[in-house]
Amino acid sequence: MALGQKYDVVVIGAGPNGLLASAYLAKAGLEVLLLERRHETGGGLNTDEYHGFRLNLHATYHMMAEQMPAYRDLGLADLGVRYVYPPLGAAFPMRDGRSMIFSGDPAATAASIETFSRDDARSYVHMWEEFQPMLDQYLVPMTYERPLPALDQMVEFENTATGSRLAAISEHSFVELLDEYGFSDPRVRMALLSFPAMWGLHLEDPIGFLFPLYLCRMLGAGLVKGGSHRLSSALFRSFVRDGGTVMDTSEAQRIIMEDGRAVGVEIDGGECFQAEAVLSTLNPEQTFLQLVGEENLSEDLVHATRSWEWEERSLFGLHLGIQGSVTYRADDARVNDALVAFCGLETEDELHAHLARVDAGEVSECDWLHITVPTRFDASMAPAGHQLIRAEAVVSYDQSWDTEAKAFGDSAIALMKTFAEFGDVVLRREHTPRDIEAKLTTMKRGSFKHGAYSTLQMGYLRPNDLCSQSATPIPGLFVGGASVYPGGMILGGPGYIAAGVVGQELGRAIAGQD
Amino acid sequence: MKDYDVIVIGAGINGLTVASYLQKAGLSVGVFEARGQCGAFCDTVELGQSGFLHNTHASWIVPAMSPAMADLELERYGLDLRGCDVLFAKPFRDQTNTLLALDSTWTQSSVARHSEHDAAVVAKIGAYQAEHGGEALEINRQMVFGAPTVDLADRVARFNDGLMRALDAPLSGDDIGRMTGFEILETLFESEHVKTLPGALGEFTGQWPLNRRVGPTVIGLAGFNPMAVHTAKGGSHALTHSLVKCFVAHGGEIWTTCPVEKILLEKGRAVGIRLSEDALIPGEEIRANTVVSNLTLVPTFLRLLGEEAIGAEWARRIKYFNYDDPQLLGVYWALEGDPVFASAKYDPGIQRCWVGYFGGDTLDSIRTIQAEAATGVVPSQTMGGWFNFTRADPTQAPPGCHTASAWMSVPPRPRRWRSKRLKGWNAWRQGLGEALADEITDLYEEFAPGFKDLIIERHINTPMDQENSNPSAIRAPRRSAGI
Repeated sequence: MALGQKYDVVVIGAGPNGLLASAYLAKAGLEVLLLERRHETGGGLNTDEYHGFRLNLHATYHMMAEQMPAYRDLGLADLGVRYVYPPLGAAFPMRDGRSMIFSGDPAATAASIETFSRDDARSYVHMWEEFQPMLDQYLVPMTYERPLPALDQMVEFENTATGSRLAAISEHSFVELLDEYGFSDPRVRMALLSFPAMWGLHLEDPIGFLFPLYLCRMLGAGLVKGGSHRLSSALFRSFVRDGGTVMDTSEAQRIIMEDGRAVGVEIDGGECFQAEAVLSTLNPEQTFLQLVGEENLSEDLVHATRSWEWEERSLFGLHLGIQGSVTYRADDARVNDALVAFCGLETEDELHAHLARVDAGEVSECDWLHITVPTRFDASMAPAGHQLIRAEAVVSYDQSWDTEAKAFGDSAIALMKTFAEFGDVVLRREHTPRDIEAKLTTMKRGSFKHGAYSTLQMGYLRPNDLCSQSATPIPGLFVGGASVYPGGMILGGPGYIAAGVVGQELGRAIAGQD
Repeated sequence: MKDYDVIVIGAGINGLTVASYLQKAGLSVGVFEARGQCGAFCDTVELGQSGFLHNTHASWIVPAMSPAMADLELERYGLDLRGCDVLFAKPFRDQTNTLLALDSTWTQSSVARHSEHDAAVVAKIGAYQAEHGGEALEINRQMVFGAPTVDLADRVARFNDGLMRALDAPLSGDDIGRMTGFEILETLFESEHVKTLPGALGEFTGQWPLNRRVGPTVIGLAGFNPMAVHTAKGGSHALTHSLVKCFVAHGGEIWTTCPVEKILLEKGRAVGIRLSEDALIPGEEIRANTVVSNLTLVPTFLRLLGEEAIGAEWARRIKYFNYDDPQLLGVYWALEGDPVFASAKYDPGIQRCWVGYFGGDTLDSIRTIQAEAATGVVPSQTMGGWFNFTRADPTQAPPGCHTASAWMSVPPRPRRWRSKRLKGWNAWRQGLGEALADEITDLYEEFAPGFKDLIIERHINTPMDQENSNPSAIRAPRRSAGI
C-alpha cells in the first residue's frame, strides 16, 4: 500500500487536548499533522457565533484557566486568551427569597452559610483550610503529571500529613465527606453536593478526592473572554505558527498497522499519512475498536476497551438570547454577580430524589438548573442591548430528546422565570445529549467527559491499566483525550502529559517538561 | 502589547487577505477583530442540529478568480473548492428550466430549447469573448482587482462596441454603459426563459439590473459564461480558515474580541489604534506605522476617526453613504433528502446544480420586486436564490442528509408588505422574518414538490440578525454598501 506524506506525529482529533498536544509537539520542532473530523477545530471548546450571540455549547467554566501549564508555555495570553473571573463563584437562590452565596473567600462564604447554620459555617472553614494544601501540594500539580499506580500513589501520599489526609478522604463519597466534616443543614448539604452533582457525578461513589477540585477550583473558575473557542483558536494559532498542519473535515478511518506497530493514519477518501507516532485523542472505543481494529489488539485490550463505561448522566443545555436585561429576584442582589446560580432544589433530599429520577429516566419537566449569564461578565458575548443566558440541567441520555427538547426547554424557561426576570427571547437553542453526541462523536451517549468517572476509570486506570501514562501496548500509538488521565473538563491535562510522553519517545524535550 | 508595522482593523476575508500579503512581504502585521471569530460575512455555523453546516451569508465564493488564491497558496492552507457540472439553474413554473453549465455546448442547447435566436446570440457573445479572451480577462481583472479609472471605462466601451457589431445590434459601447441591465436583456433576447437567467444572476450578485451603468456587467452575464464560483469543503468559512492559516504561518497575529474604539492620530497621521472598553484588553493603545480599516465607511470615518479628525465637509459626505439597498432575508433548512425539482423531468441537469433562482418567470416580475425592494416595500411576489450546498460538498450535512438555503431581496427598513404597514427596521423583530420564510418555504415546495416533507428544521437570518453578527455592515448590505 502506498503511504502518503510522512510526519513525525499524526494527532487524531483537534479538541482541546489534541490541539494542546499538537502545539507542544510542533513547538518542540516536530512535524505534526492534526486531523479533525468536523469543519472546525476546538471540540468541546466550541462557541457557535451567530446573530451576534456567542454560544458556548459545551465547556464554559474553566477550573484550571491560568493554572494550566500551557497558558505559560505556549504564551496563550499573547495569543488572545484572557480569563474573566466573576466576583462570586456560585449562588443558590431559594424560593423564599433567601440565598446562599459561595466565593473563593472562605470567610465570606461562611458568613453566608451562617444565615442557614452556624455550625455548618464553621465546618466549611475547617474543610476549606484542609483542602487548600491538598490542592497546592497534590491535586493541582498531579493534574499535569503522569499518574502512578494506586499503591505507589498511596505510598507517596503517606510521606506527608496532607498526603495522608488526602489518602484518607480519597475513598470516601461526597456524601460521606459532608458527614465527616460535620455538615448538618439540609440546604447547606444540598449546596455543597451540587458542585459535583452539576457534572453528573454520582454522590455515593468513592471519588472524594475530586471534591476539593470541584468545590475550590470551581469557585475560582474563569470564563474565556469572547467565548470558550478563543482558547482553542489560540492553541490552533500556536500550532500553525510553529509549522503545524491542520486538516479539518478529515475523519480518521484507520490507524495503519505494520508488524504490530502503528505507522500512520488513513482518512476518509483514502488518503494516508505516515507517522513515527500516532496520538489519538478519541475515546477508547473509537481508537482501538474502530481505528486499530480488534484483529490488531490483544484479548486483554479488547476486554478493557469493551469494559469502558460511559457516563450515566448527561447535560441538557438551553441558550437564550435576550433583548433587554436579566435580573434575579433574590433578596440579595449579589446573586447576579455569581458565575453560576443553582435554581430549583433546596434540600439534600430533594437533590438525591431528583438525581434518582434522572437515572430512572423519569424527568419530563425541568426542576433543577445551573444558570450562567455570560454577558454579565463579558459584554462581548451578545450584541449591544442584549444578554445571553446559558442554563444546564443534569439529564439522562435515554430520554426521547428528538421529540422532547422543546417541551423540556419550555419548562426550563418556566423554572428560570420563577427566579429571574428577563426580556424577550430573541434567540433560543436547545442542546440535548443527542446533540452533544452528534456534534462531538467522542462524547458517545452525551458522555461529555468521554467516559464515566468511576474508581475503575480514574487515575492510573484511565482509560485502563494497559494504556496508562498515555502509552498503549501498541508501539507507535499513544492516547491523550479526555478518556485518559486526568480526564475532561478543559484541564489541559491529558494533552499535556501525552505531549511529554510522545516527545520522550521521539527524543524531543517538550516545553515545561523535563 | 507590541507595536506593528501595520494594523489591520477587521478580520473579514479582505482584512485577512491584505494582512497576509503584507505579512508575507516581511512586515509585522496585527489584525484586530471585534467579533469572537474571523470571517465576518464568510461564516459557516451549525445553526441547529449537529452536522448540518449553514453558510449564513457568503454562499457562492469566488476566490478562484482572485490572484490571492495562488499568491497566498490557499490550497496549501487547506482551501478545497467544490462545485458542480451545472453552475446556475433557473426552473420555471411551466416545469422547464434554463441551465448555465460548465460546458458551454450544454448551456447553448439548454438555451436553444427555448429560443434558437437566443442561442445564436449566446453563441456569438461566446465567440466574440473567446476571440478577445485576453482583453476580456484583463478587463475583468482590472474591474475587480484594479482601481477604477477613466481609461478602464473607455476600454470597456471599446470592447462592447466590437461586441455589438458582432451581434449586429444597433448599439454602441457607450449606449451599453448608459442602459439598465433590463433594457440590455430585452434588446438582446426574445425568450423570457433566457432573459431571466442573467436577470436573476444580476440580482443574485447584487448588480441590480434595474440600475443604469451596470450594463457592462450585465453584458458579461448575458454571455452565459462559465464562472469560477464555488463552495468549499466544509463550507464558506473554509476560505476564512485558509487565510487565517496563511497569515499565522507567516507570523501574523490576530486579536479577536478586540473592537477598535479610535484610530490614533498624530499631526494628522494615523499612528495606531485604541481598543474599546469591551475589548480583550480594555482601552489598550497599540502603535503602527500604517493602519488599514476594513470596516465600512461610516464606522471607519465617523466613529474611528470622527468629525473632529476629518472635518465637517468630509463627514457630511460620509453621512450620506448609502447602506439602504435591498438586502437579504436568508432561510436555511436541514433536510433528510435531496429536493427534486419538478423541472428535472424536462432537463435532469438541474439536479446536478447546487445554486439557482426560482420565481421571477418574467423579467418584468424581477423588475417589479427590485423596484419594490428599492423603495422600502417588501416584494409582493416571492422569488430569490436557492442553494443546495450538499450537492457540491456532501460534508456539509450528515451522510445521506442535505442542507438547503434560499434568500429573497428585502428592504432593510421595510415600510409595507402588501396591504400591511410595517415599522421599518423593527419589523424584523415583529414576525416579518417568519412570515416571509413561510412564503419562501412554499416557493421551494412549488418548484420541488415534496420539499416540505424533507425538512428537519429551519432557521432564519434577517438583516437585523446579520447586522448583529457584523455591526460594521450597517443594515447588513450584501456587499457592505449600496451600489
